Amino acid sequence: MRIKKNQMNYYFLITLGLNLTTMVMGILYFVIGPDLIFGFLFGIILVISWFLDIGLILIDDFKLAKNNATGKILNRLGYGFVCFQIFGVFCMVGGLFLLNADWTSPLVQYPLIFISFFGFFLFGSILAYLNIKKLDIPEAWNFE
Amino acid sequence: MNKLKIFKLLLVIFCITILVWGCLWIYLLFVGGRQLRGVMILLEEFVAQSATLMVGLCVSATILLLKLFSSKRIRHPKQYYALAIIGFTIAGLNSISLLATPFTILHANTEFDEVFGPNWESTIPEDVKQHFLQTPYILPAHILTIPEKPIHVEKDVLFYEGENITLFFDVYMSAQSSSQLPGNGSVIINLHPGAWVSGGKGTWNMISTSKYLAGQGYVVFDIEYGLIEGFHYYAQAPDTPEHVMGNFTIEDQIRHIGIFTKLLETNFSMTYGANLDSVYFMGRSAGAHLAGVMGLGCNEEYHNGTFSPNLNVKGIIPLYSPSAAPEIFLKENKTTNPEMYDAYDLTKLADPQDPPALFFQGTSDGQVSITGVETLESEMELKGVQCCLLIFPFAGHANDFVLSTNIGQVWVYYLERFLYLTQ
Repeated sequence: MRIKKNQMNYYFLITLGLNLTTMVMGILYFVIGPDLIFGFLFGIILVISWFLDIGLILIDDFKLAKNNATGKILNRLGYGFVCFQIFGVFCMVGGLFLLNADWTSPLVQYPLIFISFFGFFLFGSILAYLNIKKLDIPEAWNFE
Repeated sequence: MNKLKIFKLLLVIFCITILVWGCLWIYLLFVGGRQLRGVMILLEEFVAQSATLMVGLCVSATILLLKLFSSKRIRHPKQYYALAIIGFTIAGLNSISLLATPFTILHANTEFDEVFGPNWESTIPEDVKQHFLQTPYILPAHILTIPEKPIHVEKDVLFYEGENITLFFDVYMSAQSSSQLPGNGSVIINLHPGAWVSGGKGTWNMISTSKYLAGQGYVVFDIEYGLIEGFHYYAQAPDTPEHVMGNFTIEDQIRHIGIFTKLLETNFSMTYGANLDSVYFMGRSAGAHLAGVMGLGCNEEYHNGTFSPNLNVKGIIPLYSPSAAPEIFLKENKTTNPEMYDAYDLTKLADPQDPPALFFQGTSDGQVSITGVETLESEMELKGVQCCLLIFPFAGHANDFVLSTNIGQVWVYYLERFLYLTQ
C-alpha cells in the first residue's frame, strides 16, 4: 500500500473531523429529531465516518512499525477500537431491543445506545488524533 | 503456548463464531426458519431487524481477524485477502434487508396510489404532516431511535372476570390533548399474537408501536383474550399469563373481544377520551386473524350481538395474518358446519361495505407465508375491500418489534398515513 506521509496526515485529519461532526450531529439529533434534510446529511456523514474509521484501523495495520514502542501502542489501540466496535454492536442491539420491551427502564436502554454510538466515534476521534500526533515519529511508521 | 497466543487464539475463535453467525443470519434472511424449524422459527423473528447491526459486527470481526493474521499478508497474501473477501461478503449479504428498503417504499407507494389515488400525499394537510415521520427511512433514526412523544400508559385494567379467567388491558394515550394530534382520539384495539394458544399483551404485542400511535393522538387498547389450553405450538409466544388459559375456542376469543367492545362503549370511552366514531382493529399473527374477524365481521348477521353495534370501524390492520382459523380451534369443523367456518374465514367475511385494510408481511416469514397473505389480499380486493399490502423483503415473522429499524420505520410511515386517510 503506497501512501505518503502527508496523504496519511490528511486522511487522519478528515477522519478526526468527521468523527467529531458525527458526535455533534448525534447530540443535535435529539434536539432536532428525525428531520428529513438533517437526517439525510447525518446519515451520509455517519456512514463516511464509519468507513473512514475502518480504513484508519487498516492503514495503521499496514503502516505501523509494530516493533517500535509508539507503533506498538497505536497498534494495540487499533485492537482496542475493533474490540470496542464489537462490544458496541452488542450494546446497540441490546439497547434497541430493550427499548421496545417493558422489562427495563429507559435508564438502562438509552445509555446502552449512547455508549455504543458516542463511544465508537469518540474512540475513532482519539485514535485519529494520536495518529496525527505520532506521525512525526518516523521510527513508528513504515514509510516507503 | 504463552498467554498472548492463547488470547489471540480465543479472539480468532470468537471472530469465526461471529462470521458463522453472520452466515446463519444470511440463510434466515433468504430462506426463513420454515425449513429448519425448532429454534430457527424464533430466531427468524429477530434476524431482519438486527441484520443491519450484523453488518457492523461482521465487518469488525473481519478486521480483527485481518489484524490477527497481519503476518500472513506478506507470507500468504492469497489466504489473507481470501479471508478479507469472505468476511466482507458475509457482512455485505447481511445488508440485503436494508438495501431492499427502496423496493419496499416503491411498492408501498404503488399500493397507496391504487387505494387512495395518485395524489394521496397532497391530501394530508401540512399541519398534520408535521406530526408524522418526514421520510420512510433515515439511518440515524435506525441507530439513535425515533424520539418518543409524551404519553400516558395505564396498565392491567380489569375488563372481564368469569369462566375461570380474568382479562386485563393496557391503554396508551397521548399526554397532550388528542384533538390537536392526527389521531384525534381514534381507537385502536390491538390484539396480540401467539397462535390462539399463547402470548399476551405488553412486550410481545410490540409496545413501541402502541406508544408511537398514542403519541400521535390515538387511544390504543392492548387487550387480552382467553387462550386455548392443551395445545402446544412449535413457536409458542413467551410470557403467557396463567389467568387467561381455559377450555376455549376461537368463537370464545371473539366473544371476549366483543365483551371488551361493549365495555368500551359503555365505560372506557368516557374514561379514556376514546372516539368511537373512528375505531381500528389491529393484530399480529393469530391476533391479526381475530382483528380481521372483528373488522370484517361486524356487519355480518352471524356475529350480530357479539360486538358493540355503536363502534364505527374505519379500518383493520392485520400483520402477518393467517386467512382462516384452524378447524381444530373451532367448535365444529368445516364439513359439519360450513356457515360457522365461513364466519371465521376472512375471505368469506369480506364484502364491499367493509373498512379498508393495511397488511404487513415479510417475504421470509416461516409461519405465515407471503403467498397466503397475497392470496388473502387479492381475494378481499375481489370482494370489494380496499387493501394495501406492505411487503418487506427478507423480513420474517413478527419483524416489527424494533420500531426504529428499516422495517419498523417504513411500516410506521405508511401506518400513520393509512390511519389518517381512513379516519
